Amino acid sequence: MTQDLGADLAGVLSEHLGRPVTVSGLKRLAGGSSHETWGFDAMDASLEEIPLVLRREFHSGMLDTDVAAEFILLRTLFDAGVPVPEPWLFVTTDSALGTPFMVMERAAGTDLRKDLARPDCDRDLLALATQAVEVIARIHAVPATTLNLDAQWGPAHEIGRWTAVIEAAKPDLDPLLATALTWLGCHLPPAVAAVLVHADFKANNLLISPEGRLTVIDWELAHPGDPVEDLAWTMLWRTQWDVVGGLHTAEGYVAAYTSLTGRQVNSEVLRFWRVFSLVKLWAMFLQGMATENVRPQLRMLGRATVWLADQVATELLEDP
Amino acid sequence: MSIDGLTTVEGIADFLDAEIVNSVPGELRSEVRAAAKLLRTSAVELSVRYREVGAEIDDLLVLCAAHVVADDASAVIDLSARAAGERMSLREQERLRTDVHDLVSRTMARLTVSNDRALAEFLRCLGGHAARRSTWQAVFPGNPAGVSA
Repeated sequence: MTQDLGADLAGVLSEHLGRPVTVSGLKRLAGGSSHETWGFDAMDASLEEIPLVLRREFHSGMLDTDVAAEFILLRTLFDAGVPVPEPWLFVTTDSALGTPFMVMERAAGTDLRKDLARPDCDRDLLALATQAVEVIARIHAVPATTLNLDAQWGPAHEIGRWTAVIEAAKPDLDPLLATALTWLGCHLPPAVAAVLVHADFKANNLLISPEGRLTVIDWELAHPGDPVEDLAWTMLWRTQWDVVGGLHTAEGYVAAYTSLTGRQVNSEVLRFWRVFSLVKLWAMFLQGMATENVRPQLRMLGRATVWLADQVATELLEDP
Repeated sequence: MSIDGLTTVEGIADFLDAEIVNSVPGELRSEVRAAAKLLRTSAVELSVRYREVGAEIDDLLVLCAAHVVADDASAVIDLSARAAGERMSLREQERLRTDVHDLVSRTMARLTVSNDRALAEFLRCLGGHAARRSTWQAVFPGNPAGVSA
């Protein structure tokens, strides 16, 4: 299959670039919940190897998202100077690859979480902490209305979106999950001006170059929304290899963000988005378990909902 | 040497880690590692499951008896009778737990808008159950395999 994909990809790239291109080193990459992601090197007559990534839709992904929207978003962000991989081309149909796909630059480096977990990691953590906040602040500075994203947005819309994912998975609904959904509906935060929300901003989705520059990947969940949604989601992961827990304390992360952006973060609003983040992750895990022929990694995430249940109970007990 | 089921499951996990992980294509390696972790956490679960789930059911039925509305009073009696009946298989026990959870969900939905103190009792109870089950997963901290999402 890899051989066929490589030949098909070379054909498509040659056609789009108008010159013969060969493809080598094709390798399925981890990461991404709704698309296949492959790394490969393209080479044309100049004999210069260009590291690229192929993302293509597949039918049994965790989420039904749109590669086209992701491509347009990346193009806009790249042109605006946000550190994202440069998108190269996007093909909807009528190609040898079958499903819609996009090709983009393969940014140098490894994901931040793996990098920080290296036993010999000697990164300047203070500089990285500052850079991580600068990156999310820069994302939130992009006017969401310019991005041709889903026009509907807001906390109620997000709750509805993930409730639908939960219902589609047809789980035996856990009482804590049901209660959390009710609680969210009763505690909607006030409306704010929409910014671009990445919606999966965490160390695994930040590539770090050998020189220490961060690049943001995995934009498939991006949408207009409340910037606090991103902060709360990032705070879900709190090991020593994460943005919060590794580079910042939870309080320090919020303080650094406020200091840089001037945006005050209301504690009740942050709590709403923390509970929402737990529900959203729970929904994602259930969705993974509802796919056909559930693979071990998705099954492992499905079993982790007990941890989410514990966290939901703790959050709701603050003020039921 | 033991040939019981739990030892067998753990032995297969060791085999996957020691001999299979490095002999499969790269894109499958993380799946095989995950399979081994699943077997290990399943063994942890199975070793205590009957006792733990039985205790969870008992805890929840006590709370339900104290807080259900009249319409659900007979459900509490029926479920309590099932819980106190003959020793169940693990699958029967899981079906009972699901039925108890349905009753708990109905009760909590009502309490969410009417009784903060009673709702807190359910939250503490269910949170405690979830915390005890955290060793049955291998993704978040507090797990035996110690890997991340």
